[in-house]
Parts: sequence; C-alpha cells; structure tokens
Amino acid sequence: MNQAGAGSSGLAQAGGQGASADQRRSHAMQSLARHLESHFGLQVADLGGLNQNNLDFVTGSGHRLYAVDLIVGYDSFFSRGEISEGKADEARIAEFLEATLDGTGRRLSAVLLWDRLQFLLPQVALALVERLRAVMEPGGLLLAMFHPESAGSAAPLDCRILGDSFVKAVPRPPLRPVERFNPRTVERLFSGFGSLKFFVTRDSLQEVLVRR
Amino acid sequence: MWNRSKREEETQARQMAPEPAREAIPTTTYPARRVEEATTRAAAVIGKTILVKGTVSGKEDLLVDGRLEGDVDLPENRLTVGPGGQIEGKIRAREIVIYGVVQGNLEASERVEIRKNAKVIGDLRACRPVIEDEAYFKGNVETIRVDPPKQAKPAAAAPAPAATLESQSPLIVPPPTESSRG
Repeated sequence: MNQAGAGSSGLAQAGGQGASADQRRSHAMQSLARHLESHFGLQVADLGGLNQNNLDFVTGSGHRLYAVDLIVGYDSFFSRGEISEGKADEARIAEFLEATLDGTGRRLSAVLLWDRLQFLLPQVALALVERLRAVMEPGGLLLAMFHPESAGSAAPLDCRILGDSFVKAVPRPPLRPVERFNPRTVERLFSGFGSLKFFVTRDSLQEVLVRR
Repeated sequence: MWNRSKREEETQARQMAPEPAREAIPTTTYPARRVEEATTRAAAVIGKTILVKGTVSGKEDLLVDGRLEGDVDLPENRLTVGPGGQIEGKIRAREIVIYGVVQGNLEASERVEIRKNAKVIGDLRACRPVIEDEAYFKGNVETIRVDPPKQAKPAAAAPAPAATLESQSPLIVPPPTESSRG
C-alpha cells in the first residue's frame, strides 16, 4: 500500500502551487480509500480524466485504473445541435456509452465520477448511471459530487486525490450549464443501486457515495 | 573542481582537443532541455513528411515525428513520439515519451511519459507512468512491479525475473466470479 506516499506528494505539490484553498476534506473519498486499501487488484475507473495524483493513488495501491475524460468525449461525440436542443436518441446515447466505457476490460470495483453527471443531458446521465450499474460488481463504490441546486452554470472540477481523505478540486473553465439535482432526484437516479450515502460538506458541493 | 589532479586535467584537455574526423562528445553532464534531449538522443528519425506502414523494430533509440501505421518494438531503447508524430499500433520499448498522438497499447519496462497536449488512446503498462496536465489519455493504466532482488538459493534452478507485470504476478487477485459476488 502506497497511499501515504501518494498523498504526501500530492499535498506537497498542492502546497507548492499555493492552491490550498481548493483542497477539501472528503469523507466520501475516505470511505472509498478504505475500500481500496482493503483489497488488491481491483479495477477502478476515473471518469474525470487522468492526472498524476489519481494515477499514483490508485496504481500505488495495487489496482488497475481505467481513465477517460467524460466531458471531452461528450463534447466530441454529440453535436452542438444535439446538446443545445437536448435531443439525443437512444441509439446515439448507447453508442456514446459504448465508446466511453468499452476499454474497462473488467467489471468495475470503484468509479470516480466526480461532478460529471451534471454536465450531461439528463437522458445521457440516466443512461450512464444505468450502464455503470451494469458494469460495476456488487459491493463496488461510486463517488459523485453535485454542485448546488441554485447553480445555473459551473465549471467542471478537476479533482485530484491528495491522500486518503483529501481532494483538490479546481474548477476547469469554461463555465457550462449544469443540470440541477436535489437529494430526491439523486436518490431516484441511483435507485437501482444497493445504498446511497450523502456527506455533509463545509461548502455547497454535495458528495455522494453509492454502493452497487 | 579546484582540486582536480593533473591527470584529470590532461584527460579533459584530450577530450576537448579538436578532432574533426570524430563526432563531438558532449562535455557537460547537466541535462539538456526536455525537447532537445528527446530529439538529440534519438539515433533514428522518422521525419515529419514520412509515412511508414508496417512493424518497426530495432536496437536504437527512435524519434517519430511523422506517421507510423504499425507496431513498434524497441525493447532495449527509447521511443519518442514528437509533437507532429502519430502512431497507430502497439508500442513496446524500454522508455516511451509522447508529445504527439498514439492510438494503441503501450508497454515500457521503465517509464512512459505522456506530455502536455499529447493524446493517447490505449492501455498503458509501465514501471513509472507519468502524465502531464493537459494531456489526454483514454485507457487502462497498470504499473509493472519490480520485485526486489532475492537471495539466490543454492537449490534454485533459475533466478527470478527482475521485473514482472502485475497481471502475471501471483499476488494479483482475479476478478471475482459470479458465484463469489455478494
């Protein structure tokens, strides 16, 4: 287990960049880290794109990491018309999900979804959650974050794991419209999963840990 | 530096003496700038306008700044994909450094570096994977574990390999079967 190393280097890096304001204690991450610590050789997916901190944290703990930037894939797959009109037919959505998650190889034991769901069309977000449920193994964990319900737009967060319970979340411009979720709609979204846990945070970002 | 022996000074003077028939030997031990290093260390170059179709293998460093459609096999050497380089195929090398675009699986016995603005789609296996910010990567990452050297036992028939892939290691836990899932 190499989490301490990954974490300390990450904290040092963040400190060096003077971006400590972006660091946050994440209880959802803490629970997920415990899950990763107690196993070996799991398949983990990071749908926020690959960065060195997350790579070191996951592979340093003896796991395999599948990484893809959901936003980049979404923007390049769907046309502006499809997104602005909110129309994407089932076949197109299925094709997108196939292209996004085709490389995982194995069933997923943990998914780092971060805040990405809110930047997708509702029907795409719903289909993605369904697909994740299908490709995750029972007992697997999914970490998601939700911007406050009042936010009309937000920049997707670039999330970096800084150890067992710290995450550095830096907004990555430009601002994009966000789909609004409240606890009830989040519960409905993950209704096919085993359990759902909300974590209270100091800021308005809502953390959710979902167990398959 | 001030206390060098006479022999050292003579040796350095010999090295610095002009020998037009020979290649210049770099006298500094300081690392050059990254891109320069990548360029100058590559003994062979596939230039910007070159298109290669087929497998490339060899025992020297290679810089690809053109387009290569096929696999690359340089198990003892370094492959650099320059900013204008594109490779579509599997890559196996000791070190892989990418500034350009690669679509295919990467395997390096030492390190893989995916630099800023590079784009990689494929699975990556390396001892030390490094990814810079603003690089794009889609695929799986696995680190190769380097086992510490063991004390050789007299009865041992063959020495253990220096490096093993995680997936080949007996420590790896296979994905649970349907029956074992809770």
